[in-house]
Amino acid sequence: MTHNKIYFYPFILIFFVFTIDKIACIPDFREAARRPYKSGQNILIGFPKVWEENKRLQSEKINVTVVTGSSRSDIFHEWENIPVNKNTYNQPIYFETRLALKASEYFLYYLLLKSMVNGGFKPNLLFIEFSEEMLNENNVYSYKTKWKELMLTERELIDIYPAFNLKYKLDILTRLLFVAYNYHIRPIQGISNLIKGERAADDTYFIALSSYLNKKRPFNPNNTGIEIDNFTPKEYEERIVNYSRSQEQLLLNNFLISETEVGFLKKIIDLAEENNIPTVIWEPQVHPYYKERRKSITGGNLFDTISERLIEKDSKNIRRISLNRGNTNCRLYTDSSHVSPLCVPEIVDKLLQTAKEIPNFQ
Amino acid sequence: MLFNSIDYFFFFIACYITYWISPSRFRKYILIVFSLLFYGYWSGSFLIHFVLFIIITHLCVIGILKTKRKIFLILGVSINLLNLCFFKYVLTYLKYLMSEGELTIPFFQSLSEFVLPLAISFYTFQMIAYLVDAWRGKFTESPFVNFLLFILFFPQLIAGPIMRHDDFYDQIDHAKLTLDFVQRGIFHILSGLIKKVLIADQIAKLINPVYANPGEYDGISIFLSTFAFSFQVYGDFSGYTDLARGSAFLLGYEIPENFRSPFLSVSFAELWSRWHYTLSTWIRDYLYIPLGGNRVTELRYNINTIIVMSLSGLWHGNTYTFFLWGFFHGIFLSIERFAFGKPNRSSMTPLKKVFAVIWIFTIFSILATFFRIDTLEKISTFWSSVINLKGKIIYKPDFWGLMIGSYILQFVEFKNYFKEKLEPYILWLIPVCTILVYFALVKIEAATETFIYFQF
Repeated sequence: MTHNKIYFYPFILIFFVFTIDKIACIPDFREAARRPYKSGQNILIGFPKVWEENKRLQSEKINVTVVTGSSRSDIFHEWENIPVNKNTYNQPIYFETRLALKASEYFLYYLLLKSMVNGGFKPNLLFIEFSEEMLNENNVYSYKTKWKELMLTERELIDIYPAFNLKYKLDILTRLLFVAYNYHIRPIQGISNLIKGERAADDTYFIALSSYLNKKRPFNPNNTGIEIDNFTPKEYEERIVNYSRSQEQLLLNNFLISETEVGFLKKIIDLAEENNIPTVIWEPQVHPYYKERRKSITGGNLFDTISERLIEKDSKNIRRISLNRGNTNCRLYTDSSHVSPLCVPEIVDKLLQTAKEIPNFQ
Repeated sequence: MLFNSIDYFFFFIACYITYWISPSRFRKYILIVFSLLFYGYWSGSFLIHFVLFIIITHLCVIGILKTKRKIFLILGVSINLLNLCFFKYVLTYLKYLMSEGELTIPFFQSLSEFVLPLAISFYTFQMIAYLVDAWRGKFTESPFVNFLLFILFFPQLIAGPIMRHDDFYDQIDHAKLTLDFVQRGIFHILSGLIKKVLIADQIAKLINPVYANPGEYDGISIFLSTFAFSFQVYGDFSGYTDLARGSAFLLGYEIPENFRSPFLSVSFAELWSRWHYTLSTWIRDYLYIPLGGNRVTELRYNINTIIVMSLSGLWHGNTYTFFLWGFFHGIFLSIERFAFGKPNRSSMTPLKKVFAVIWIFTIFSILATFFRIDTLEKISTFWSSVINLKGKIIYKPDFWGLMIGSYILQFVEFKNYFKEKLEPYILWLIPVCTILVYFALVKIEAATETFIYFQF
C-alpha cells in the first residue's frame, strides 16, 4: 500500500461497512431482520386506521375535532359523548381523543399529526394542549425517551431533521447513512426469517393498544375529584403537596426550555397552517398550589411568550387561549395537576368559543 | 463526548481529515484546537478553568527551569493539589453539609449545580509529574505549545492513560501515519468497542439491578455480581484506553498501555503492574520512591505501601469507601510480601498458578464492593444478602456468555498469541472483524453508558 493510500484506509473500511449495510435496505430483508416494534411505534402504526374511521365520520356529515395532549387532555377521552353547548356550536361533532396520550409531548404529536395529513384526513378542528412541562428539556418524558423507542422510516427522519439539535441531527444522519443502525438489524435473524418466509416478530402490544385506543374510557362517577376547598388535610397533603413534588421531580427537574420541543410545536403550527387546519392551542388549568410552584420554576408566562412567537398575528387558522387564569368555573381537581373530567364540557365550550374566532373554521 | 458515541465518530472524522490534509507544521495546532473543542463540548466554563491551570502550571515550570528555585515546584504542585482537593473533596463535603441542612453559605447557594471538572484527577497528576520532572532536570526547555498539546491531547484527556512528557514529546512534530499504526489503530478501536459496549455495558445492565436491590436476589447472584463488576470496570476502563490508543494511533501517536490482563495475575504485586499501569507507575515514581521506596525497613515499607494504596483509593473517589478500597489493597500487598516475598510466576506450577489467579481475582472482586458502593451500611446490606436462599437470579446463559467473553479477552491480551499467528491474514481480518463488530453494535438499542473512570 503506497503511503498516500494509507490515509484512506479508515475511509475504505467505512465505505465497506456502508456497502454491506445497504443489504439491510432491501425491504424484505429489513422486515425480516429488524428489531421488533415496541409500544411507542405501535401508536404510530395504529393511527392510519383511526384516520380512516374519522374520514368515514366526516362522510356522514359529522365534524371531527382531534384532541392532542398529555394526561391533562386525557380527560376528554373519559367521555363517551362530550355534551356541547348548542349556543356555542350546533353541528354534529365528534371528538377524536385517541391522540391524548399520557406523558406525551410535541415530537410525538408531530409524528401523529403528520401521519394524519399523510393519511389524507383533515380534521374540522384541532386542539393542541400547551403545558409548560412539555417544554422542559430535562422532563423524563421528553422527546428523548420517544426517540429511544421509535424506529422511524427514512422519510420521517428527513422530515424531522431540521427540528432537532446537533446531537440528534448527527444521530439522524448516521441512521440515514447506516440503515442497519436505524433498524437494529440482526443478520442471523434476518436470514433465518427469510428462509422461513417470516418477518420480524413484533411485540404484542399492538393488539392491546389497538383495542385500548378504540375505546372511550368513561370516568368513574364516584371518582371525579374534590372541590378546591373540600380537601381533607390528608388528601391535600397527598394529592396536592406530594403530587406537586413528584411532578416537579419528574417533569420540571432542572427546567430548561427545549429548543427541540419548541421546534416541533412550530412544525405542528406550520403543518396546521399549510393544510388550513383550524387549530386552538390551549393551556390547561392546574391547581393554584401547583401553579405557583411551577411559576417559581418556569416563570409562568411561557404560554404567552412562546405561542406569541410561533403563531402569526394574522393567522387564519390558529387561535390560542389559556384556561389557567381563573377564567373557568371549574373547581374540581383530581390532583394538583389535573382537573376533574366533569370540567370537560366547560373546557370544550371555551375552546369552541375560541375556535369560532378562526376565519377558516366553519 | 464519549468515545463510543456518534458525536465522537463525526468529531474524529472531522479531526482526522483536517489534521492529515494540513501541512505538518500546523498539525499540532490543529490537535490543540480539536482538543479544546473536545473539552469545551462538555463545559465551556470549565474549559477556561482548565486552560488557566495549564498556564499557571507552565509558568511554574518556566520558573523551575530558569531559576532552579524550589519555590516554583512547591507553588505548582500546591496549586494543582488545591484545585483537585477543592473540587473533589472540599466542594463535595460542603454540598453534603448543605444537602443535610447543616450549613448555609449564601454565596454557595447554587453549589449543587457545581460538578467535578471532567478529567481533573488525570490532568492534575499529569501536570504534577511534569513539574517534578522539570525539577529533577529531565528536560531543559518546555515550549508552551508542546505542553498544551501534551496535557490537552484529546484521546487521553478524559481518563488517561496518565502520560509522562517522555512518552509524548518526541512524537510531536514527527507524527506519521504508517500502515502498522492504521491497523493497530483500527484493531484497538474495535477491541475498545467490544470491551466497552459489548461487555461492560451489557454486564452493567445485568448487575445494576442487583446493586440497587440486593435483597431481591439470591446469594449466588450477589456473589457472582461482584465478579461481574470487576469485569465491568475492566471492560469499561480498558475499553476506554483501547479507544484512546486507537484514536492516537490514527493521528500518528503512540500512547502507553494501561492494562495487561490483570485478572490473570498470580499476586497482588503483579496485579498492580497490570491494572491501570500508568497510575501505578506514577504513584511509584512520584509518591512511593520519595517516601523511601525499597530502601527502608520492612515495617516502614509496609506502612508506605498502605499509605500509597490508600491515597490511590482516594484519588479514585471522594468517599471513605474508596479510601478503604485502597487501604485493604495496601494490607493485602503487605501480607503477600510478608508471607511470600515477591511471588515469581515462572517458578510456579500450573496448578499453583490457577489457584493464585482464582485467589487474586476473588479478593479483588470482593474488595471491589468498596469501589462500587458508597457507604459501609449499604455494603453490609449487600453482603448480608449473600445468605439469601431464594430470589431473582442473574446466572442465565447471557451472564455466563459475558463472563466467558471477558476471560477470553484476558487470554488474548495476556498471550499476545494472535499477533504473530494472525499477522499474515490482517488485510482481510480487519474488514471481517469490523463487520462483525458493526452488526454486534447496531443490535444494541439502549443508550450508551458513560465511562466509570470519567468520574475520577
